[in-house]
Amino acid sequence: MALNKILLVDDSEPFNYLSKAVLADNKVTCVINEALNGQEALDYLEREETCPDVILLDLNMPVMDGFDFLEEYAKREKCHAHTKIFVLTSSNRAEDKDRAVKNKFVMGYFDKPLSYFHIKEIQTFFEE
Amino acid sequence: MQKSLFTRTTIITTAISVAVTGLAIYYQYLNALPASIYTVLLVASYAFDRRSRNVKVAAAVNFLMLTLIIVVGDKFIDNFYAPRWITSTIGYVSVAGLLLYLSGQVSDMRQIKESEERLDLALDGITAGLWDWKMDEGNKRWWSPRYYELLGYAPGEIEPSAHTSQEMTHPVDFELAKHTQHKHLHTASKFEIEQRYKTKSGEYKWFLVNGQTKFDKEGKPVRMIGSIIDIDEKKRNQQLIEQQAALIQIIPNAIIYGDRNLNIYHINETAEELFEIKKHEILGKRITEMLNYEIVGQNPEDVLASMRNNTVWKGEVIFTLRNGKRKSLLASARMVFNAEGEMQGWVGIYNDITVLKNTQERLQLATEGTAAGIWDWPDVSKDEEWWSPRFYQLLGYAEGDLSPALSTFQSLLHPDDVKGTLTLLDEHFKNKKRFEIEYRLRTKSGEYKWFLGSAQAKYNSTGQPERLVGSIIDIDDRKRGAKTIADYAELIRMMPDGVLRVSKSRKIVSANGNVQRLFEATAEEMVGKDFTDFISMNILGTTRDAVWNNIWINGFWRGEVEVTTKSGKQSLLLVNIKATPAEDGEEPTWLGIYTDISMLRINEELNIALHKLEENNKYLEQFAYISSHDIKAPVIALEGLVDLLDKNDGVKDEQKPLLKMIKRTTQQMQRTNQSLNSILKLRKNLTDTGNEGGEPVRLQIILEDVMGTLEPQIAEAGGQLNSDVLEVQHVMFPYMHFKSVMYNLISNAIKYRHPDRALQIDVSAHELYQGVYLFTIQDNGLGIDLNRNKDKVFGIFKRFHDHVEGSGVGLHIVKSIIQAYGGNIKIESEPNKGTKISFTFKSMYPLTNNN
Repeated sequence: MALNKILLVDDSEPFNYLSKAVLADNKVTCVINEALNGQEALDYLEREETCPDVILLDLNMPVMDGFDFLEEYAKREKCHAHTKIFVLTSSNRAEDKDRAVKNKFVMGYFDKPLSYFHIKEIQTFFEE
Repeated sequence: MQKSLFTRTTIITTAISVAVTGLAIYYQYLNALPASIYTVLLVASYAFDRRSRNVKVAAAVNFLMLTLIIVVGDKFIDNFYAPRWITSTIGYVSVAGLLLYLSGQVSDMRQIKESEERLDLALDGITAGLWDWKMDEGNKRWWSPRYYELLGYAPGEIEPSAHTSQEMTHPVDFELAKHTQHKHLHTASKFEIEQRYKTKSGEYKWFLVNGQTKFDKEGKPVRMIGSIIDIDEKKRNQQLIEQQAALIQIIPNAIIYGDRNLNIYHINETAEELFEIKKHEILGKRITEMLNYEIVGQNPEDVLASMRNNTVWKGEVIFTLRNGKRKSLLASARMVFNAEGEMQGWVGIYNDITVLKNTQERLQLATEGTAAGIWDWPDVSKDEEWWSPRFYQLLGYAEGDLSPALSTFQSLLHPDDVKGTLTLLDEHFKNKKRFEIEYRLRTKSGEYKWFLGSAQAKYNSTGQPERLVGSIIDIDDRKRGAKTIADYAELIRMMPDGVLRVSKSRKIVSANGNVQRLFEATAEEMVGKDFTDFISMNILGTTRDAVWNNIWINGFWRGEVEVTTKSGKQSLLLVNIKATPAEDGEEPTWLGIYTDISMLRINEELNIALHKLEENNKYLEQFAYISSHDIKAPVIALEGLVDLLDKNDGVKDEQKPLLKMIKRTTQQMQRTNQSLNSILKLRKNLTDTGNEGGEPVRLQIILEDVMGTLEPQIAEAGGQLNSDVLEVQHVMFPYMHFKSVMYNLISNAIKYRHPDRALQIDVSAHELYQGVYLFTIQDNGLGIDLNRNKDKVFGIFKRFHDHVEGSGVGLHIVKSIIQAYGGNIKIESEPNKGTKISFTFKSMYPLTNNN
């Protein structure tokens, strides 16, 4: 299994830019798509034929936040077996972290910005 | 006596005459007839002789008859053909009989004479008064002079009569006397009675009355003669003796009579009861054989000796009865001696004082309970006194436990009472001022008790005190009781509530200070006035009439009243009223307690405000939190973007310093945000229940943890850390929070070290008292000028040195933590010398001695 497709879900374009720069910096060369909130992410998953291997999910977003997204995602069956979700957030609320790591689809919880260590951790799920 | 003599002689003579006459007739001598006639006559004359006064007549007839027989008898005898010698024999025998008779008569007469003479003597000389009652001579009565004398009269002063006799006879004795006399006159029984006659003086006296009665032929009493003998004294003595005998039997004292050999010959009933012994068991025995006794405080030999001196011995004797019972008896005993001084016996009287003794003991106890302890200071120039046993007892000591002296007394005095007592003593000595003072003395148990102390000095001729005698009386109860009442009165006076008593006619009876304040009037102005003169009221939720009914019907009322004084001061009062029924004809009253709850209302408002404030604070905290979060994200993004720009070399060389400044500003923003965040986190953590930083860990481990991080820095700075925490190292403290305190303080010391000298940090910890520990962290660093910065030291974002990077929240965090755990922190610092921070910290898990 290889890491071929990543979906960034964040309302902050600078962060999305930074994340792409960090991924490139660490030699992660794959398809990277972006969604600006939960609803866009759901739409993307609905629309796409192939599921992303990884979703990097921010929590605080307008329209639909990260937790609402996870709830909706759980209601559908698509991508459940394939996609690994990691939370990437600047929240320093302990409740947020608790709630996020308890979700069965969340594989990791990262403080922004995305770093080399985060990428290493993600890659452990895709080693052959 | 005279009569019986007569009779005997008469019978003998008659018997002989009859016998001789009988013999003559038997021999059929006819001339015996005259002798027979003579005999008959003789018998008849003897019959006459029963009457003594006819004795002489009888004798004369006798003689005549005999002479007749002797002179003319021969002729008759001859005529009857009797031999002469028989006739003669009869004649002589008759003469002999007559002579015999006469001789008897003479003898009798002589005897009578003698008796009469003797009687006369007796009558004159001694006792009896005689009386004579001649029933045959018209009931004529006669009393001898002595008779009169015995009754206190002059002879002949009163006329003896049946009436006077009856008058004189004691009414009680009259019936008996009458009965005895009646019986005597009808059955010839003895007449002898003891009876009382009234004397001239009106007194009754006892007499022994005897009487003899002469009867006529028909047995009719003709004369009664008798005597009276004064037996008054004897009778009285006898009565006394009888009374005494009765008394002895019934007297509540036990009486024992003993003979000269000390053997008991009589005991009374009380003694039987007292000694629980029967009379027959003890009679004839020595008292010592029957009863065990000990004489209290005296030797039995001494007691006997003193009794032999004919004195009455009195004392206390404790008898042990046969059943083991012990009795305390008060005994009086004396020996009885006869005129020659020989001991005749002894008598003892015993009073049971067992009960009395118990009572006495109780009385003594009771007296002791209140009685004074006495002390004597015989020579005021010496520190030596004498204290009575009671004195020691009052203080809880045994006699002699303390050495009695003024100095000892002084040491027992309550410190607050020493001065007053000694001053008064001085006054007493110098100015003879009355010494009476209430003071407290320390008892053996260490408690102080109140005593009333009095003393009186004896002064010498120059007016100098020589000797001081005094007493102490336990007044502790009274004092405490008085104190309690005084306390209550004081309490009412001081009570923050108003206490008001009002009569049913709404007149104020009493008011304490707070009512006075509330009504804006003095007690004098208020008493007797209607309480509504002072205030206007608005009773909340009810009417005045309803309140009034409640008070007088239910006995109480409770409610809230708005009160306005004349000066316009308003207050809200909680009122509790209780009615007191009328006493001793006085008007019923009610007692009201007024609690000013205006403040309560203000408090309520304050609480609401506080609640709002808290909500605001919460909101602000939330706001700060969200702000911090919302700032965090863009700062992080900015930092990342600047880094990216720097790495990508897309910046011209002349722009590089600019980029660097942007980078530093971003970092600063980032750090401030982090500090803010950490404070918010700590606050949340400290106020949260079950906070995360509170897990208890041993100090040793916490310090190792801190040093693990900071040791390299100290080493790098060429410094040294000394610690003195052995005493406390096993005590548990809240891990994260305590670590934060130690970390901040030690890292501050490292950060602000002096550049010119080697860093020296001293850390110490000691137990201040149970469960509270004192920590100090002292360094030799730069120090802070506290004169300028004292108020700011623990403020947020305060930094005193800018050559090193610091967030300015370290000391603020430290203080927050320490205060959250109820400790205190203090800083001492001098610029260029160093800083010493001391703080206290409680451990929830202090060491016990066992671990």
